[in-house]
Amino acid sequence: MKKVIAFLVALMLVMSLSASLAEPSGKVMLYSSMQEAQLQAIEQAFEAKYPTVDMEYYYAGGGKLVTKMTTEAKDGGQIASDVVWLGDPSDYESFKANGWLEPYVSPETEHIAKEYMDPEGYYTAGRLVTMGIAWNVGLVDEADAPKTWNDLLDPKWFNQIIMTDPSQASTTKYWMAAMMQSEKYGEAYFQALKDNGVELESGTTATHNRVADASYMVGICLDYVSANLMAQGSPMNFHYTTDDVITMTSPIALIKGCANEDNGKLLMDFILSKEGQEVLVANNLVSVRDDVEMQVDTSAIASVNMAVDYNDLGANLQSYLDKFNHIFDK
Amino acid sequence: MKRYDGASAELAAVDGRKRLNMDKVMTAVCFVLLLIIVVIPIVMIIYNAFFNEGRLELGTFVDQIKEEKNLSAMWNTLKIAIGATILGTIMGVFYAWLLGRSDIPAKGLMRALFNIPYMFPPFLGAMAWDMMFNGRSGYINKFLRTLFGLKTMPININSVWGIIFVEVSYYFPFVFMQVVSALERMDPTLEESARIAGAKQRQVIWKITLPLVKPAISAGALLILTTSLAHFGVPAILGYARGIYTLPTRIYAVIYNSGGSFDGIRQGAALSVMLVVVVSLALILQNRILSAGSYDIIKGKSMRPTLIKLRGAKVPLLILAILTLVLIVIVPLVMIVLISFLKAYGLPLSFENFTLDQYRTVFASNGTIDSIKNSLFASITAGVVCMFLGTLVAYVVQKIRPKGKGALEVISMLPYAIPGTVLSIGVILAWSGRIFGINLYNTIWIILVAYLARYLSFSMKTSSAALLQVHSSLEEAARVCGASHTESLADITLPLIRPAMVSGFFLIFLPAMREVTTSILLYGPYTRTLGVQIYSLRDAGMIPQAAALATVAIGIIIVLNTIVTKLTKDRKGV
Repeated sequence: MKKVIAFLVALMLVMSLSASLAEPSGKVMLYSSMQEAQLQAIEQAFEAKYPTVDMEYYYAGGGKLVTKMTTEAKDGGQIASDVVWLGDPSDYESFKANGWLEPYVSPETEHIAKEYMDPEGYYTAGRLVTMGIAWNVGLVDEADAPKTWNDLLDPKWFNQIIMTDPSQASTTKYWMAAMMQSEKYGEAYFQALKDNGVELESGTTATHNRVADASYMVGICLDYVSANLMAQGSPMNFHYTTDDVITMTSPIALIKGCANEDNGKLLMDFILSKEGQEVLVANNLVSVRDDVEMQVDTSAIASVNMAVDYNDLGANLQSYLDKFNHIFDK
Repeated sequence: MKRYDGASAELAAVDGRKRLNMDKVMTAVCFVLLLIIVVIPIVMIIYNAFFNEGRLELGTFVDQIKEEKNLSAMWNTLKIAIGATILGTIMGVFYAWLLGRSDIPAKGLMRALFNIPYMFPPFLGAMAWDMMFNGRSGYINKFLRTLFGLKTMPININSVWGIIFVEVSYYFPFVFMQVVSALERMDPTLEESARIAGAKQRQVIWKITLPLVKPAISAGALLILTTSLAHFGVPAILGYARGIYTLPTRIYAVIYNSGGSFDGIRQGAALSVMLVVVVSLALILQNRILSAGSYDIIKGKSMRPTLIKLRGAKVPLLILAILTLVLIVIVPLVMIVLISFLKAYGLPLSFENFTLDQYRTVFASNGTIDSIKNSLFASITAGVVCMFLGTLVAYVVQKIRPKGKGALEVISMLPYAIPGTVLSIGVILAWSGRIFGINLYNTIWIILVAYLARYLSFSMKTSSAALLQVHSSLEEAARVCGASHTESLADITLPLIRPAMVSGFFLIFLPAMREVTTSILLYGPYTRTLGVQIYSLRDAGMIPQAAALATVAIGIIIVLNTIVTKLTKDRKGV
């Protein structure tokens, strides 16, 4: 009898040990609005670390992904992803309200500033994205390039500025809403932009390419997309504005009821880890961690950051978008 | 025609009830399948455009008609389609005459080359022309501007005329191919007698040749008109970003912006009804202008017509034909391939900016590999299923001739006249959980169902034509010798029409492989087709990557076409 018990105990020990040692396996799905090359880099690094997990991603602009998630979640449906990583934090407030997210605080968040995280643990910043001004190097000298948002109203840029349609891209939507919210800019600013012949492009990368291919002299552009294209040799350049910088935290979150929750957590941990964030930095993204080295001085940017009222954004986002669409006659 | 009826009645008498049952089963299968594939989607569009939750509600429809953007889209659709039809017809007839009836050299080669645009998806051409002559940044535009020191870009392809130009260059072969074969079958003695009677060359062309090939011109022009009215790719690539909408791109925008919500789809259904009305009006108009008469003087056998001597005009016309070929075939291809090697869009096209990186990214992307697999799966399956179903319908209509065969024929041909965009909306309405809870939305099956509806008429037409040539006496002979109906079908009729069935398959497989109009409204996260993937990459601003995938797609198309040509040649030999 003793032998049998001892054997059973041993068996259980071995089984539990092997279970805890068992490598994670299966699939994990990520919805993201980042550029495909960067997603491929993350996929490679993640699968190199966890060779038994098959990571998949679905890439589309933020607006398109929100639409897609809305369609999938309609009538109690399940969103077909495990992790979602878009540009605009205000989207996540509505995801949270819709009951789409599962709270998860990764152990990796000790190196991430508290203001980059949802107090209730529903989402965590995965990278930092900052809107600035890009120009075509063949058409504009660096010294002449607009340095503030108000410089864009100079008549010398008439009909020569491109920006992304905020209803298509979550990062531009956030920037637009933050500008609308500000007393200094508001609706009048966008009317002035429209009067100065600003045109809209349907996707973020497309906007940048329109600057690169000399369709427009100047664009309201993102730091990481510009850096990426410049690394490929695009004839464009980029700088942050000298005041009222608008930075987004590009949160990452776990989907409630997702098919591969454990692998989803694993992927989030990986993306937020030092190793994962270094992959981001190597691909021209800006890390949220305090222990990753990079060229961009985030504290300098933070010192000229414009204050954004999240509550107001959550409540009035749609009305800002409507005002914008009205001004741009969409 | 009476003979067939008599024959089938006699046959029915041969094996009495059994034969009747077999025929009934085939007829019933036809009706049920056509009901599912074709009728339900179409009924769903009409119902949803006018009814909401069971009540008649014209609000959505009226709102859509009154909306200024939709009206201008309708106007643009008409302008583009009529422009493309007129110019495409002129161009098609001119080159058909030049290559069919004049003594211009290298005819065979040029005829093959003039058919090339027919192979390629027009939206790839639109991409290439946009790269060259985009009104703000086209490469050739920039070059011309610096060369002549202009202030503005010399050519703006992102206009209604630009769209017409690109459509013409891909659609004129519709007329060209029809007219060339009509000219070949024409009795040359008619022209000769006119000449003997003292008519001048120009008079012969205007009074004899053209009227004789008018039915062929008319058929080709009709094809250009309906294709252009329903076409998504070219206006989407050249007009969309500049606010030039057509009805198909407008439907896409409405559905896209509403995020797949039911309201959006209803608006799309209302716009679809508008598009169908426009297509019908165009058909009636076209019928009035070019009413197709039948001319028995075009003989089935080919006679060698006297070639018209071009004399002094020979060299200039040869140069014109070669330039046309270079402009519409070679230039866009070269441009797409060049851009696919570019490190980043906007860089000058010089050797130090070239790289293979775009191809690496394309092949490392799950989306791309999936899209190639999806397109292969959907188009091969659609081809095979339509091949059998189309033959079945053709057999029922031609040989069994049940009551309501006219309805059967009309139903199976209906999707041919209905734009792909409209069909997509119908398929979404029918198969996203509203009927028996069947939800195919976001799966590859919904694309397949749409392809079946869209391409069924292709295989039905080819099988029909082949069955007409198989006289009932052949089957009867087999039956008299004791073969069962199934045996006579399997051993006599099917082998005889097999070449037609195979060509019906390729007639579906090839266009489905490069299709974008239908699938752009139906794709889900894992079900992008090749066309959709290229379009999305370009739309997302990754132009060199889109060009790389386009080059891969062109490679696939060329390989498939070569295989098809080989196969069909072998078959002719047998």
